[in-house]
Amino acid sequence: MTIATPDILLVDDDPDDVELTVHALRSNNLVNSIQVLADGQEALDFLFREGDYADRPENTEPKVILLDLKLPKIDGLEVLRTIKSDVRLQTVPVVMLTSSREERDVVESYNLGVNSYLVKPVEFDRFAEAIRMTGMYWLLLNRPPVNGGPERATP
Amino acid sequence: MTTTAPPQVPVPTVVAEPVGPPPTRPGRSVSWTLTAAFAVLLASLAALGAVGLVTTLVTRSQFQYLVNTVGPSRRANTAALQAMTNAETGVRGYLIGHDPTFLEPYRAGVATLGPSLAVIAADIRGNPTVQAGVAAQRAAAAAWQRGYAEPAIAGRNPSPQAGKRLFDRFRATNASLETAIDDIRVRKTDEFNRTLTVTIGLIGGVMVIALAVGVRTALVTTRRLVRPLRSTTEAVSSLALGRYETRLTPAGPRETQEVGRSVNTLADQLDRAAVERARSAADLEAANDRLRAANDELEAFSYSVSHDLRSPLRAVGGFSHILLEQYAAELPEQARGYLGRVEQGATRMGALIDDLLAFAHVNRQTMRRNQVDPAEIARRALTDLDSERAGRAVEVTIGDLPVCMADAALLTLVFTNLLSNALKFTRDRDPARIEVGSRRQAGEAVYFVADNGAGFDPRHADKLFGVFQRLHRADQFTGTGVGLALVARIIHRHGGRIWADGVPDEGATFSFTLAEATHP
Repeated sequence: MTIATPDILLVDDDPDDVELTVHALRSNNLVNSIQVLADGQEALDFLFREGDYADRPENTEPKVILLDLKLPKIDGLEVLRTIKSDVRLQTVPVVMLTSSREERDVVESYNLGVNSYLVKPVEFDRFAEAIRMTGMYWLLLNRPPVNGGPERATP
Repeated sequence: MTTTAPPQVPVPTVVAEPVGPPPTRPGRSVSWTLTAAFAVLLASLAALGAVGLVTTLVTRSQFQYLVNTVGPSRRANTAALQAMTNAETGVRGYLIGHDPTFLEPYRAGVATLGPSLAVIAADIRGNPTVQAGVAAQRAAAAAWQRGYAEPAIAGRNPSPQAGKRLFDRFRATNASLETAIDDIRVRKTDEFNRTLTVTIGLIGGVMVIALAVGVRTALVTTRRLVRPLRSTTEAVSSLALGRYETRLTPAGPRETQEVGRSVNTLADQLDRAAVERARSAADLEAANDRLRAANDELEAFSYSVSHDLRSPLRAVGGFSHILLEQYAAELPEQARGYLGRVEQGATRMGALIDDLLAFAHVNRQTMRRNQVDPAEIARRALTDLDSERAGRAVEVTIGDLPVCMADAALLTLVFTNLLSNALKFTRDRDPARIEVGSRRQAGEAVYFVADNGAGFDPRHADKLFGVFQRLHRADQFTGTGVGLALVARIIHRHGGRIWADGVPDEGATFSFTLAEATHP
């Protein structure tokens, strides 16, 4: 199932975590459309309209990307690096959603320009709350640039 | 078993002999040299003595010959002339007046002549010239007596010319004997002088030899001793500076060669000991490295396991929760209870994993020690725990605590855990009392956190600080059993000690030490 213009792009290879995340978002009525991708290569294909996603409409970027750190094929940090070094995509908010508390992962993510870093709590109540707050913030409260990146980049 | 490169054995460096000609007679001992030198000197002394003795004896006999023989003979010869002159004068006087008193000097003179000549003949026996001279003089005197003096006294008027001629002959013989005696004296004096010269020469020569031998022995021996001794000193200094590869080339007399060999033996032993030390240090270092590597591996392992456990655990708890939430109506009461337990179990395990992660993190984190105020840290930790004391009557006193060198973040963890612990175990007390204080004990500052809570049986005090060790049943007091282990680890990393005193139902006191703020 591919959604052409999702609000949220969730990149996570753990089906349990995906299910719980989607459940937490849905039960809070926070999301109408969510695209789930299971590895880094697929995420980049989607964002850059390549391969299976070649005919995805232009100028329809997600409002937020929830990105796991440890991903098959291309890992989360590499995906983050690619997004943040692309003129068109760099304004799309990226939130790391991961189990890792490793300080070097946190530092590296921020160095690459991540917008937020979230450690998934083990306890479901707290996990659901964290997802709810994240969704609430990026989908409802955050104000993105009106026309996205390219216009801003042009003098 | 990891192989380690064997410690490098340095190539022995040799303290070179000072440049110059090789020492003479290498290996001959100093005692031999000194004995030889003393022998030469003693022989010289003996020679001096002998020469002195012999020449003294010789010169004495020559001197005595001159004094006791030549001198008296000459005087006797003069006396003989005097006696005959008196005799002739007496004869001449008698012829003038025939006064018999004039015959007295004649007779006395003639009588004196014989003994005087006898003295000469006796003294200078071995000299034929003198003996002949004595005989000639005696004969001439007798000729004058018989040919002139006796006939004149008898009144036969001998010719005075003949008498004068006879007496002149006597005078001539007397003069020639005197000349002979003088010759002897000159010869003997020359001999005496020669003897003295030879004596002086001999004594001087022996003295010069003795002096030369003495000076040479002193110089050579000193030089032969000084050089090897200097090398030895250098080698020993070098060894003292830790250059154990230093070796000495044994040189010089036997004694210094022995010293040199002893120094080399000592150097060998020092060298071996140093190599041994280096080897055991390397072994220790290797063992340490292995231990560190194993420890790091273990920590990395526990860290990653803790991480990897979190996702499935979230699934267990999460889906139980969703089941309970969305399908509660369709589930029997018992199933709901079990699902609740599943969720609680997952929650508890999550807490355990989080604590384990924190525990592992304490060791991995680098420590930054600064001067910190423990009282301030304790106050902040207490503020963080506000939620745990909400709705309870808790009296907390935080005294003045001496500043110390500690990692502020880690020390915060210490107080957070100890205070949380105290709050937990005073749950049933009203009011609960918690005191944070310090005291001096055996010269160091001891910090403590005391409470009036459930306390513990002192028999189990040693179990308090182990991971997952709990002294209370889970349904009495919640907790993972990691907190105090974490505290103990932090204190140990600071080089301090921690211990606990407790009385069941009366309270517990946790005390610890930290390095004091003596240097920045």
